[in-house]
Amino acid sequence: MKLVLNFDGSALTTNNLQQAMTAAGANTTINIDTAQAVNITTLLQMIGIAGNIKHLNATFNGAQLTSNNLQQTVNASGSNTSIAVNTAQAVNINTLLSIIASVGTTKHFSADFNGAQLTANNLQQAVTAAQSGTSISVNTAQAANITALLEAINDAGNSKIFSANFNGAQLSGTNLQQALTAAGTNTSIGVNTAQAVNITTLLQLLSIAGNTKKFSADFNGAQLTSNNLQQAVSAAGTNVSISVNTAQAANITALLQAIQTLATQRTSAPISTVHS
Amino acid sequence: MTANNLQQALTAAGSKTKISVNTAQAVNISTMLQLLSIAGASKLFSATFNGAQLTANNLQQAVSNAGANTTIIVASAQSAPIATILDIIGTAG
Repeated sequence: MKLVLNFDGSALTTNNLQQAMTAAGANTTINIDTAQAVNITTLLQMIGIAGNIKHLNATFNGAQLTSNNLQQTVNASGSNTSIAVNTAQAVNINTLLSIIASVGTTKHFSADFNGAQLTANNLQQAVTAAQSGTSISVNTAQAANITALLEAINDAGNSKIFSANFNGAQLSGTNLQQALTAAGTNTSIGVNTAQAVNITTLLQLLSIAGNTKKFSADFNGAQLTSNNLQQAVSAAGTNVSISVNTAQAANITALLQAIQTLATQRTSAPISTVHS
Repeated sequence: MTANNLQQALTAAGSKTKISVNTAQAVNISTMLQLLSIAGASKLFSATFNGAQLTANNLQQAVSNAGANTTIIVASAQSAPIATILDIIGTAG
């Protein structure tokens, strides 16, 4: 089994995090969210306890960075530690490029940009600078300038780890199709709110993805219409993932049909469901 | 959750299907142990407990009964009693 413990860095009490980190074995992963709120001494102590063995992830908000905590954390991180920054569009580009350079090919770092708030060509510069230890992602990709997004995808090519996630209820033009068409072998394109995507568009996307491209679609189980979910699962290629959130609200027959379709396909896509 | 939809979905799940449940601290412990049994060692299953809302020793029981492809997640782990956290780490390794 795997055990995952998520700590909110802004709400730490006493030394619970340190005790958990010290006790953690090979099957346990510790995540620290809101890591920018953690005292840097504590954070570096956690990195030290993790060493090159324990599984540790820490996520910073790029709009709330103080001093050079993010850089210090990345520089100290061991081989099973991953450092992430969200709201990466707010990070000074020179700081971000310097971090990416120090990550190189051995450390693990990821940066997530909000596509609705891109400025200058920071995203493209980050993708260009990224080596194998860095992954770059864009959320709210439907709001990104399509030229900038295609440049980032082309900069990623077939080697860099890049992903872009679109809201299916807010698609404009053929941006999603263009992004998926341009995507290289290490680029993942996702669509959330997939139940709102016109079924013709969705089937077109699944056709573009074929058996090679990494594509994912997430449906809201409370808002399923017609048999779009089942059609998507039937048409999904080998590297496509279909997921259903709010699965407790989905029609159980539709859900079982989707799961059983998958079980009988020779080459099939993963499906995941989340019940709450 | 409604009826036994979750059990049905997990029972039907093949090797490429992953089933997850959040707010797992609210799931009846008998149901949770049944789900962990259905998952066994092969099915991909995950359960997320809110560390601020733990009751009895449901989390510890879930960790003790989790199979090889099951993941137990504790959200708001900073709010869970440290004895519970150390207990489940000891079980999980």
